[in-house]
Amino acid sequence: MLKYVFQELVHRPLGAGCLVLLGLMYACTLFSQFLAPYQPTDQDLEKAYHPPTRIVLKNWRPHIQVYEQVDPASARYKAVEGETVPLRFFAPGEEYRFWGLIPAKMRLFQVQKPHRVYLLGSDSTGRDVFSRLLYGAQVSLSIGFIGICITMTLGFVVGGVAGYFGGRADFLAMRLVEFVIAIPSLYLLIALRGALAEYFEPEQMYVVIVIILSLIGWAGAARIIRGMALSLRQRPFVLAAEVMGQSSWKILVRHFLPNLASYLLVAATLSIPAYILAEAALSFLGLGIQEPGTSWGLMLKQAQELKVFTLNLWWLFTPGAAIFITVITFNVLGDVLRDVVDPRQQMGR
Amino acid sequence: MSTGNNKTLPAFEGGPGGVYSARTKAVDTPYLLEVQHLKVYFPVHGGLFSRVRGYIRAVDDVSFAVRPRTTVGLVGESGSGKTTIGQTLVRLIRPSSGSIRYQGKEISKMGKRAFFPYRKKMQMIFQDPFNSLNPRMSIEQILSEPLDIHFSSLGPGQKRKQVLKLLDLVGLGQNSLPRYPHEFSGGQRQRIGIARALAVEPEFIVCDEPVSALDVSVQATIINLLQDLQEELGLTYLFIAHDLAVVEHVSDEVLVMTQGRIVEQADSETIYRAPQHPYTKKLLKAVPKV
Amino acid sequence: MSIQRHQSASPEPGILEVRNLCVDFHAHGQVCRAVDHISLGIAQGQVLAVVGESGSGKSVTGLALTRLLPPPPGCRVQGEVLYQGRNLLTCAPKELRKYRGRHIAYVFQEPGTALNPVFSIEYQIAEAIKLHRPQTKNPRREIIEALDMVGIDQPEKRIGNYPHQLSGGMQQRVMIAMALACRPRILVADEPTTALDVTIQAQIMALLKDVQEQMGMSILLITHNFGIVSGFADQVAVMRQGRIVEQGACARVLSQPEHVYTRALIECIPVLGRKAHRLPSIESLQSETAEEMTGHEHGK
Repeated sequence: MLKYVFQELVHRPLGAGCLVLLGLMYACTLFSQFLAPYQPTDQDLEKAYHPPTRIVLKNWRPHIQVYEQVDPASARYKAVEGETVPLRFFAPGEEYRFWGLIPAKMRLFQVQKPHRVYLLGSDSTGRDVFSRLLYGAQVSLSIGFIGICITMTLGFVVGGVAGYFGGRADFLAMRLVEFVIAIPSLYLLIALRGALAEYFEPEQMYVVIVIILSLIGWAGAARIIRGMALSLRQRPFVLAAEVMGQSSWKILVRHFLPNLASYLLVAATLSIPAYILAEAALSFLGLGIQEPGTSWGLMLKQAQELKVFTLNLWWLFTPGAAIFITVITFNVLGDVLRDVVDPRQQMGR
Repeated sequence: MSTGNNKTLPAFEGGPGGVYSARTKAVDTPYLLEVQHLKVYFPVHGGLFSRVRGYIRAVDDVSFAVRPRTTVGLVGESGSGKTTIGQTLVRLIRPSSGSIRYQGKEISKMGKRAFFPYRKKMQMIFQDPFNSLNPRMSIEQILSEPLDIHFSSLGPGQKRKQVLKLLDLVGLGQNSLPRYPHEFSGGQRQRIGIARALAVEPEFIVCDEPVSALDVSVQATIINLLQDLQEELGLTYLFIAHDLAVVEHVSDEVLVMTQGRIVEQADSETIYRAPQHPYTKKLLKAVPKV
Repeated sequence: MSIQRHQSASPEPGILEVRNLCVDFHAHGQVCRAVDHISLGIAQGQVLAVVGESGSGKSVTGLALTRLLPPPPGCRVQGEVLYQGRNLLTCAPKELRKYRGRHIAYVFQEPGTALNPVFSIEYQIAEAIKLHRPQTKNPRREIIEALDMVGIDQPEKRIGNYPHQLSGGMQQRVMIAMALACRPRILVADEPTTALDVTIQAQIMALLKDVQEQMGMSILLITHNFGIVSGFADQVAVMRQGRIVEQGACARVLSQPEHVYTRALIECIPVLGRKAHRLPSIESLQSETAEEMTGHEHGK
């Protein structure tokens, strides 16, 4: 079935486009350390709020325009005429650990120190926004993905058990679900974070956030899955499995899950944006990822200064654009998926 | 209740070899299945606290017996309780009271684990060919599932051979294996359902309106198939239907049911020649005549 | 297999005439011809039965008459359907709406799904009346009369019922009442009894016969069961894989079928009292794509 869905998706221009875009984004997160010229914590206080460096072609090779600071107070930089620095590709930069395991030095592009290449400018302490964007993507994009996996699993287990066994199990499960749904999610978010924070190091806040988001999101999915399980329960092929003596868990996994898969797929795809936004919101409030970690939400928080608005330091809002693009892409993909999946249901495939 | 001429049937013996393993011999009873005073009542909830207000008497004191290698037809309208009886026999529904004895042993009060061996002996064929197969499973997976449960010692090669044998029994080719249910017609799906029921090597099969959802022309092929399989494999059927003509054709004995009770019981010739109960007569009149 | 077409000279000029009807379905880059040059005629007050297996194109024919099939390019209909001098396949939608329901009414196979579960039967029948006979002064009384005519007892009490509160047979009677509420001249009954028990089948067929005689209606009965056709239809057309293989007076076709296929269809019905060991059967050669497309189009 997945193969069929994939083929159908690729045949539709919107679907193919979304897949390509998301594929690119997630591929970037896999190779962020290689693609980013600098570490996210690499400061250069002399180049705070530096605009994006212009790239010029000299002798058919890309060069970076050199700037000099005119007015530190108002963060104005002027291009120094004639002075450029060559851009080197596949050059060694600061050491890092590839995927956390293999030590490596190679980066996609670098320039001679003390100059800096800022594709998207720098922030208040001279850190490269582009690099921080890439490293932040690792956090922001994966949180949604992992959180959704946990949520859907929890939702399927609870909803499936409630729908299949019925009776007391159903009653208890649904009361639990209603309890979770009834609590306002934002407060639950903050409360859980406050409760769990003391058990985790600041760097491990990532895990805390994933746990929190999953614990809130599963209830809605569970309720819907329970409804679908109830209708599946009565279908003769489930009865046939019972008559042949199949165990309850195997029936849930082999008979219910494949028939619910299309809903789960669409629901998951449409829920990931919510998780990404939730993480961004949390970090924005200072309750999520904290320094020295980096995420898109955190970067937006750090862009929240009057100076940024008055001096039109637009590049500091690129994380917002990144979130926007990601959310829209997932939503469009979810829509196309829903179209692909629905008529199939009617055709009884 | 009237009884007609009872044909003398051969005593129950072990079935043919080949695909099927040796059968257990009968235990001091000429009947394979005996049902006595079976009652299935469904509680009706209502009122402020969903108190039980009354009962729907789906099956109201039904008794009958099935001899091995015969077909007993159970006929009645929708709501007469015939499907409920079928589902109670294979334990999809729990009886409220009464006894069900299979080869002399009481099975209605057994626990789930104790009943498990009987899942091999009693199987069911369902009415709706469009819903009785999991649309997300290939035919090979559908037919391997019962083998996985009851013959787990089979290797993958042996399992596949067994699946092919089952397909051959019902007249489908081996190119059906990787395909999905939606690629087959109603009659073919019903054959797959029959193959699935046969996979566990049962002795007794409840056929719950197996041809009602099919075209008249396809009904004939399925009925013929069921009869052939009965002869080849020594099966016993409880054939549930609402059409007396179909039932009369396949059954040795016919039970006529309405509103949860059996109102007439006789062998099929007698039912046709000399129906006693007015309901039976009504059923006979309803059969379309060409 | 050669197809011998037996037709009485040409379809008698009647109130509905179908000429060279063709219906093509397009899906996944393939074209499937569900109906292949069919010509039929129904006379006033006559019952024409179209008999065939699943996938023969009989349901599609019924739906094609008033353009109830999906629009092109999914489905293309060619030919002529002449009613009162107008070709229903090419007339303007506004005009078509005048005929649908009012002149040509339908009764479908699954009464459970054909009725809207969230409205009472009174509401649904009234909808039909309001649409086609808006000048009716007392629709409620008419509804009660209609329910009475179809044999629902205590219609005043039942009128407020919802579909799920009625049995299958009752639901089908309500469907028939809905169809009859506008006094149509032609009733198209697409497998009206297939989803019902045998006893209810007999009752519904008797009801249809009764109503037909009372109102002088014509009926186009679509079915796979020759059994219900005898004693009910005047003319019979046997369809196979989109074509009519035999056509003629019902009594003649049943007693002396000319085509091999017709003979096989008649013989495979189990008949009481004739306990042959094996039922003769047809090796159905229906193409699977045809059945898939048509069967799934109409939820069979």
